[in-house]
Amino acid sequence: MPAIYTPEWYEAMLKLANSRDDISEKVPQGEWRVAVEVVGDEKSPYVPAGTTKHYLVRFLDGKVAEYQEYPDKVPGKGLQYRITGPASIFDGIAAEIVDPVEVGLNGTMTIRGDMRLLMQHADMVNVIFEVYAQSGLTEWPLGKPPYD
Amino acid sequence: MQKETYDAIVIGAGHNGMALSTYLGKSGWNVLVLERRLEEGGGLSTELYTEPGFLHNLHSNYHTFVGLCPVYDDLDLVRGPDGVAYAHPPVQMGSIFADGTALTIHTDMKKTHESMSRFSRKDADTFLRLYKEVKGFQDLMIRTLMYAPPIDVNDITKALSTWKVEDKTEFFRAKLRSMTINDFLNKHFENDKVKAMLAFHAAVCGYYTDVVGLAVSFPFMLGKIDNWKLCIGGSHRLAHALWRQMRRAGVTLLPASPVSEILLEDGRAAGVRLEDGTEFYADKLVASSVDLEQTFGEMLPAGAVPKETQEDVEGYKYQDGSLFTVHMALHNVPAYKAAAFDPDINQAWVLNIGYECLEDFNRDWASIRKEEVPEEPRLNVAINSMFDPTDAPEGKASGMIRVFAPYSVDGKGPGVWSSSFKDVYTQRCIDRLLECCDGFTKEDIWVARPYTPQDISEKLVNMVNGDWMVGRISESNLMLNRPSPALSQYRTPVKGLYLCGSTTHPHGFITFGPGYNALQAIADDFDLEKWWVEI
Repeated sequence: MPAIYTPEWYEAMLKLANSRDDISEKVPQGEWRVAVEVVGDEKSPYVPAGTTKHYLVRFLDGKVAEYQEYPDKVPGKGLQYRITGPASIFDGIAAEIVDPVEVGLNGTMTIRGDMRLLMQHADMVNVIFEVYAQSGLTEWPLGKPPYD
Repeated sequence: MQKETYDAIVIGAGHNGMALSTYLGKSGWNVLVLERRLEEGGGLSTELYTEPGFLHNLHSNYHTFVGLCPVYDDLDLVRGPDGVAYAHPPVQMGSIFADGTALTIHTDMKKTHESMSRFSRKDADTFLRLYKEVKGFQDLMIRTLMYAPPIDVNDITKALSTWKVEDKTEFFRAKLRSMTINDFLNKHFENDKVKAMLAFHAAVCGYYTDVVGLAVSFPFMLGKIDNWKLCIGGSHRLAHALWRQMRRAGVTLLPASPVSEILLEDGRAAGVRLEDGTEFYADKLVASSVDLEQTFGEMLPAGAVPKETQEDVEGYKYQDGSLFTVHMALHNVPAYKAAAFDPDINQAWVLNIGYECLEDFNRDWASIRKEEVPEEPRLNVAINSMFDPTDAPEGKASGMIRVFAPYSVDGKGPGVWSSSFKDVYTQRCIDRLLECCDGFTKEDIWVARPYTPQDISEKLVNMVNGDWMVGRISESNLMLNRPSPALSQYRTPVKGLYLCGSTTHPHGFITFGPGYNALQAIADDFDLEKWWVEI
């Protein structure tokens, strides 16, 4: 896997996700647009403090159709979900040292959108985070969480 | 004569009907709202009930969803020139106990912890952990569980299990669904007075502490224990703010226009007829914010809905009890003997006087279910003018005492409340208050005027049996079961007829949830752009 947050890394993630039949089976049909906001904090060396990486991930009929980095906040219109959290938390999930559910529960990572659908497709959420957590495959050129 | 036709007609100008109509108006629809009473607002009712210059909230007093409910922001109800202002008392609530001690709940949780620690350090620590745990996902869960049409509780339980939430939280357990609030408090807390304080908070929210299944809601309630707010100028000001937004949205409101019939055309709700015979028509829909019996039993012609729906309506359950209130015009603000123990008690807004332990609640619930008025009234006291000086003339004060009480008394019906008994009970409540006061005597009470369970349902017919929650708060009548599984999605078997009142999920109280959730169903059915959804 390439270095985290590079276009190549997301491309690899996309291919990995689409290779998993269990995701295709669990993601509801139709189009789903999810904004991801990785907010720079003092801890992560990959996203400078005071900056935010904005991504749009589009699912289509159970597959990740595209991801796209946006220069600014992804407009809310047409979005189903917006996931926001500190970069060190996203790094930690990718490195398999942070539990995404736990940070969702304690409010460190916020999710906006209709939680009912996520609850009704709870397995899908687990599988997506499982794909995201590819510590062994991700390169960490500036150090791997917890960064020491 | 040309038919007067709108896109939508909303029956009832309570806060839910007003909010729904405003959203639809802002979406470009031509909307008519019809209200039986002379003014809008429903439970947002403020009157000069005792003396000129003294404002009294006859129904809704505590607004605990400001900042949590999306409607306030979507409709600019708390900002801009048309918004209302809220007071947020630093000492939110308190309990005065018979032994002269007092416990106070503050907006500053450190102070709450200090106060609770005087009774039990262990409980204070537990409380803080619980509060912090809930705060983390309160917004997410409130939006999911209150401000969205309900889903099956089993789906929620399954998701929490799939995500192994029980391993990651201290207090959330699937078995809360089979526990009472009393069970929850007994499991996690040790001190009777701490338990009584927290149970009081739930009870004032309309959640009886001995009802099986309500433990699952208790942590969420506790997460907003510091969000009790008072509408400046009286709760009715919020209705004014809604009314101004309705006008801006081009909505027509007709007060003093009681609907007698929902008109059907080819089985579709096509309009309404008023008691005076006037008819109005709706191209798209009719939404009813009034109770089930009025909507299905009185306004729809016989046979308009299937037998099963009629059975749901007839079997709908209301709360076991209601509220008896004594509204007071005061010469002075009460001070309490318990201030010697905790001076902050004199600054507390919502006061528990009389509930010393969970058993006290159990006794009151048992009395109420037997239609007996609790012999020794246990009080919920709020002196609003301490936080909103506009509620009383300068140098005076206004406040109220509330007591949980049955609607029907001793099997004789609610009429007992219109007899001299209400004055006897008023005096008992006042005597109970005075026992706790320090230097505040009966001479400080200028006027005390009761407002009974019977008054509640006579003023607002929606509140059947004086039930201000407009339906029982129990697992069998919450979420997907409210008011019944078939009616839980705000649609009815009559095409074009929707429900948007407090008989639907989540429940009564100024949540705006029923109106907001009906809007989601309507938006889906009519392919409305959800401009109010901000992701």
